[in-house]
Amino acid sequence: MQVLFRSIGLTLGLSLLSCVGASDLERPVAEVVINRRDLAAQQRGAATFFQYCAGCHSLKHMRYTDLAYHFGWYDHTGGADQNMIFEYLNFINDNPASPILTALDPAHAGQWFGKMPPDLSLVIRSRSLEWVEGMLKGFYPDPSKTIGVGNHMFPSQIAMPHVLIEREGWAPYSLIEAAPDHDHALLLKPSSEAHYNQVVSDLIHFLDYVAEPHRLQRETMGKYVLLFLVALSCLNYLYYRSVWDEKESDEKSYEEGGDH
Amino acid sequence: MTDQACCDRSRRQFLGRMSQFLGVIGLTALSVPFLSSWWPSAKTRDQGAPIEVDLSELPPGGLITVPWRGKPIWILRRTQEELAAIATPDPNLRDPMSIESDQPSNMQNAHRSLRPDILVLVALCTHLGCIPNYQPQAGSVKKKWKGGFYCPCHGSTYDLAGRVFKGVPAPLNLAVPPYLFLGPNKLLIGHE
Amino acid sequence: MMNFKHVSQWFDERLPIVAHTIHHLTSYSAPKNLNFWYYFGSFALLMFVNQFITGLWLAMFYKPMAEHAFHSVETIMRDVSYGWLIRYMHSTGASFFFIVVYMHMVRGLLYGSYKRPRELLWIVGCLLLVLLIMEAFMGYLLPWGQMSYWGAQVITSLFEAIPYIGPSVALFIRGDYTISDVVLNRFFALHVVAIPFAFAGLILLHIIALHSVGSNNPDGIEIKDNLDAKGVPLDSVPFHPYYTIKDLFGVSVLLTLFFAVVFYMPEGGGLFLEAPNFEEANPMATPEHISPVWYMTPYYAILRAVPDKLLGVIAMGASLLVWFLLPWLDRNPVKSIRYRGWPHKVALMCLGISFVGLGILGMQHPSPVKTMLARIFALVYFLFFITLPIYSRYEKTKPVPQRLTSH
Repeated sequence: MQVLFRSIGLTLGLSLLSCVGASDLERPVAEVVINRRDLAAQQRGAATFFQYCAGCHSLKHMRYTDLAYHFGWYDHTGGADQNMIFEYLNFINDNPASPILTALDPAHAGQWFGKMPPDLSLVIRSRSLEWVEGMLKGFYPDPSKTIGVGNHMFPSQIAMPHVLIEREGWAPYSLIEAAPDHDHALLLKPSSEAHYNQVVSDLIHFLDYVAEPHRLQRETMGKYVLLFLVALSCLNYLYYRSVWDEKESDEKSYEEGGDH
Repeated sequence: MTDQACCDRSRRQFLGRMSQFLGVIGLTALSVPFLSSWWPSAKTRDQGAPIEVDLSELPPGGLITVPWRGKPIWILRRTQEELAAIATPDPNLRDPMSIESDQPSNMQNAHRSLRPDILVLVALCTHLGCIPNYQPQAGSVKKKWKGGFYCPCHGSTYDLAGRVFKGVPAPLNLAVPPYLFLGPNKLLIGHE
Repeated sequence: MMNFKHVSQWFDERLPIVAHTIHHLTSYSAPKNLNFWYYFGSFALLMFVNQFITGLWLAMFYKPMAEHAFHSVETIMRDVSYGWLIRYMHSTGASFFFIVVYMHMVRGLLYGSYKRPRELLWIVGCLLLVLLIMEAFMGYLLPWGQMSYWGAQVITSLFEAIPYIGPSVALFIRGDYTISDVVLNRFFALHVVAIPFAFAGLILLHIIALHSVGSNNPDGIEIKDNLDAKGVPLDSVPFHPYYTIKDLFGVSVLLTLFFAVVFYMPEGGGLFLEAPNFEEANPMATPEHISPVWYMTPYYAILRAVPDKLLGVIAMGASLLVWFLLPWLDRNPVKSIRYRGWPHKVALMCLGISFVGLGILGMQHPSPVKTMLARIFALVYFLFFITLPIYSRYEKTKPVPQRLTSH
């Protein structure tokens, strides 16, 4: 009876729990595959980030030197290679160990976009890999919007323009010769997807690293810790049984031992 | 005790010892992250990273102070007269060979530096940590003063190589931080 | 070895606390048939020690100021050596603490461990639960994420529902007109100092109360009713080595599960570390969905189920405080579910389903159907406590054995 109750309870509990994860909001279904050992992808993603995104978005919980050490950019004194930092990463100040901020003035951001573009250090954790990918691939031309594009992840309005427009392969804007009261920009449909998918994948690899730099170390260490704990649990089980079995056999021999 | 009971008992004791052994290993391993977290963090190490100093504007006899790991560091470009003054160690020095004091091994020499003309010192008196004053003028601090450093807190005196005199409360020569030259006029201070 | 004996003797003559504690650990007569459900008390103690030590370590690096709190947590995650591990142990530990405590309470329900003479033991346990919820709530504000901020905003504003004095009470608790740096600092002090102290004291009282009356067991009979010539219960075993070593095994299994989560899914599927909390608190932007962490959602669901603000607050409070009354609501002398009648089994099953159901609903966006379900579950939940004094009096029970049945 106990076993029956317990197995029903467990099944019920597990199936209820599986419903919990799904939120009421829409989510893209395709799962993003990440290879956290692909340093090259992270570097390409970093290059994309600092060329297209760092103008508005900060990564304030990382320092430039953190990235330099991770990419293996050391100089002959054993410190971070500052030449590499200033060539590829830091374009806004002369401190290689400063947090990765943006040069965008919050006052200007308020005027131009309505609010300051959010810091992206943890966007992969606060939104999910799938959401970020959906967002980067979710731009479509929309003449009714002020910035000319809409985004599938933002039902009403996105304030961010499609900065990666040229990487996605959209032809440049061309103006319609129209009456003076019209001012539309015509956007041609996107052409190639393969290259853009690579750009997005690399960018996501980079942002995923920034969100949790120690993830690889965590998963590696976990393997050994769990191996040890499973072994310890087995050993402790045998020990526990041996203690209680000894009690059993002691009691049995006591009972069988004749008069007492 | 029956044979079975004997086996049970020794099996239990063996398992008990194994369990204790693995338990101690586990607890030791568990303490590693906690103890390790006390070492300076990556941020602290970054903030304490070596600093570059440009000496091209530094005239002979000039002294500049730069902060490194929260401590003031002096860089002095000694004049020819100052170098001559320290060429022979004063008999009143407490530790003329710099045996007790703190400096990189390759700077335990007469001028306590890599190059004779550039002196780099940690500007904290080895008595109780005040910042001494640079007193290069001969005869300024006392009679027969050949130039050096004078600490106003308790009167300790050092020569132009940072070596401490006898009869003052400070026990050691001023410390020399690790450093190297990146170029004829460029120092990297703090490089270990 | 002789020296050690002399030293410990010197100590025991003057301050016998060590000898006393060891005696209690080793010679405590525990029933010999304690099963799976009896692991969770020592598990809870282990979780407390975990939270204390990891929390202490985090407090060495965390900055309890609104401007720096979020970034200081990220500094721990990135810069402090193994900081990420200590942080995950603390966040996972909080959820595991609740899992273990809820299971511990289930044991109490199954075997009637709240009944005479263990009423005070149960009361201290209920106090511990209330303190645990407060500790978790205050701790959750500290990372200063979106969910931290807005969850605290919602819960502290509940106090405004109190008639006449409500807004003043809320203002007094916060010390500011809204959740702010002021609230963060005082919650930090309470979370790190005040409540852990109270917790430690109450745990001590809990264990002393237990040792004074002795443990209950799955058969629900008092082992002290059958003593041997030396006054030791016949159906008992000394706590050491039998339960120390059994608990050692249990602890190693618990640690395996615990570290599996810490190393492979510290976010707990979004339940232990909630996604919106990876965004820094923004007083100008409410997240799409605010809900407490999973272990408080049953009570939250009850709050939301009631259409009136004040009555909702009262219902939520009642759902927690009603547990204190349990020893006096159950009028049946039989303790263990093994010998109780079917009404009690059905009632407990309904209680369990409604508690879990409320918990799941409390995590989700309300909708007309879900609100209806929550109301039904809330009703069933309270009906358990209302009908218990009635059916327990007339319940037909099985005969209770004289001696323990399993070992």
